[in-house]
Amino acid sequence: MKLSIVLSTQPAQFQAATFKGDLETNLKHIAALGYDGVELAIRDPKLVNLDDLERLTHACGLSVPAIGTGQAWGEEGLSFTDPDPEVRRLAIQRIKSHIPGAARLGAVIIIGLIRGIVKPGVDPAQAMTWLVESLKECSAAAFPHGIRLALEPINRYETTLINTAAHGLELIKRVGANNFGLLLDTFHMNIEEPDLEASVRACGNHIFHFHVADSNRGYPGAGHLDFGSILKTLIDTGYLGWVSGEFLPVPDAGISALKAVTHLRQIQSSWRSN
Amino acid sequence: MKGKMQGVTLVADWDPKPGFKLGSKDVEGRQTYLGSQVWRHPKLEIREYDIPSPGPEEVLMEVKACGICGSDVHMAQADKDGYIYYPGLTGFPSILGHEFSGVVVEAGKNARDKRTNKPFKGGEAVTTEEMLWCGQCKPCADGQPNHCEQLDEVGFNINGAYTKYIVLPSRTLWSLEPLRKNYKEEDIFIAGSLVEPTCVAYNAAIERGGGIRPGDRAVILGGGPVGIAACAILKRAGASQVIISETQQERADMALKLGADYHVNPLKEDFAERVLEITGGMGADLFMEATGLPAVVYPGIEKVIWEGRTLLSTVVVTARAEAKMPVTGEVLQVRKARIVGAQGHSGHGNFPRVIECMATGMNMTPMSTKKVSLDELPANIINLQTDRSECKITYLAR
Repeated sequence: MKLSIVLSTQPAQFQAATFKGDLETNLKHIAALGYDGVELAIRDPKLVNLDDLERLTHACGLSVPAIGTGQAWGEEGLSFTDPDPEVRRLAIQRIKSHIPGAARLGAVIIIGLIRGIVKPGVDPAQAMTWLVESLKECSAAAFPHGIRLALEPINRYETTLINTAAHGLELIKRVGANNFGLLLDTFHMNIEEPDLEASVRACGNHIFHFHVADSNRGYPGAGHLDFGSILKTLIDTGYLGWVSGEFLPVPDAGISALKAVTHLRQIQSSWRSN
Repeated sequence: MKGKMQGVTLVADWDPKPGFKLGSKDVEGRQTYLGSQVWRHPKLEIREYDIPSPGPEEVLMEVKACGICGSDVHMAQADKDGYIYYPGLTGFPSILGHEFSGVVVEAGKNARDKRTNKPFKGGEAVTTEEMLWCGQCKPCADGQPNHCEQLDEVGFNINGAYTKYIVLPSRTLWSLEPLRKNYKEEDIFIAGSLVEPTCVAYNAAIERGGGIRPGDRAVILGGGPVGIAACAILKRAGASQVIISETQQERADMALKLGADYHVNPLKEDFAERVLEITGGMGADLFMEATGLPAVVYPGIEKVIWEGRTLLSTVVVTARAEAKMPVTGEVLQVRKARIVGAQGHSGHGNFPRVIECMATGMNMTPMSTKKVSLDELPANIINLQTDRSECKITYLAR
């Protein structure tokens, strides 16, 4: 099982970006804890030195399985479903600008909150149409580079656009691109899905990436989710991707990351001895 | 993908010769299986096209490299009455170009990558067969795609690759990913553009001719790209002696560089005597006729078989020609020899095997002796009518 953890490449307001701060120090720490990879949250690729990123992650022996893009929403308000067409255009452009970096690192591009929310006065069906069109355009632009996009169903308290795995599967049909799939997150699923394992099975090979956070959005082990069962189900679908920690740095980044990797590796060794 | 692209297009007049009858698969004004009987006053033009869209089982390929073939030269070349030289399936106007490679930039939902047996991920380096066999007629269903009865040929009767993008059915695509290990970027695509002509040689020598055993002797007549590729393949297959018969020194040199051991120049020496001398009186197990002049060269082949001591020789007629070969049947009987005809490059595992050979040491890229841009293609295609000094000219999208 390949494990990664989220690291923000710039100061961020998003609370569950587990590590924030000096890049090189954090990468070394993450590698030392036994993670195989690091998921990078990048607000704008123009602000990042890709050569340095590639060099540093490689030097630490870390892969970069995914790029988080939500800070463009959180800090700049860019979204695929804003009523202002210029904002939608900028959001599409921002996602497309991640493609060269994703291609170099071999990373999945995550579509989280950059899909936006249904703003007051906007018809939800119109918002869905804008979302589908944006995803078609971004998927087509990524395809020649062999890059995949993964949309994360998010709980109802953060958006009304695509809350459940079932919504996600419907969206995949509407977008109709082979390189568009889902990022399932256990924290969001715990709120929205009636049965987490059943939803994981239903999504099957549409799962391009996977986030782990416990019921209280803490590190796996801090709450009441049964990660042994969830992850076993995930692996039984034939999933060959990454399991990535996106959780609150509570009590702090270092301790939560250590507890997470310990908990997950324990689960992994319990499978081996069975 | 929206937008326009430019394509080097062959335009000609539909002007059937007296006595020409429309064949069952011909389309009045648009397509014929007997090109040299119908098309007149050929011209090469650079025309603008909409970028096409792939269907559910097709891909859109961005072309990276495409070689010029003798057939392209003959489609653009007119005889004294203005008719094109090329005798086969043609449909104009069409973009030419059929020996090529590129990258998958769009894929239909059901288009499958043979290498992974899964849908294309995008960005894959691929090449394609030129013959788009239908998969439904009896020859296709019997596993003989090179003899398809409803053939479309890329760059002959449907648009080819002297352009930026082309739609292709996924069933004729083959992955070039094995080349990534030992070839750097541009060379992957140059090598990829040489797969099709190399497969013509592979299909003729190995599939149709039955191939050779390590230690066998092979004689290739004709040092064009197909003959040169045959030298490379047969040397790789373990031939003890590969002899190239060729009148032009540069072509012979290329053949010697890529696999041939000996060169015989039939204009300067007696072909049969020299072959018998080289082979210690044994002759050869495999002869490939790739000159297009079978009436001229067959008597020499027959003499080698008759005066040599090798039994069970195979002669593979590979180049097309409207000519009769003078065959002494008795020679075939007494020496237990045979003559077979070979056509095409598709099926039979030809493409994947050639790609694996190229990936692991059989480097054919020296054959591409000149690179040109799209705009330079028309002049180069015309020039090849008289100037044969370049082995293979390749259009490279840069």
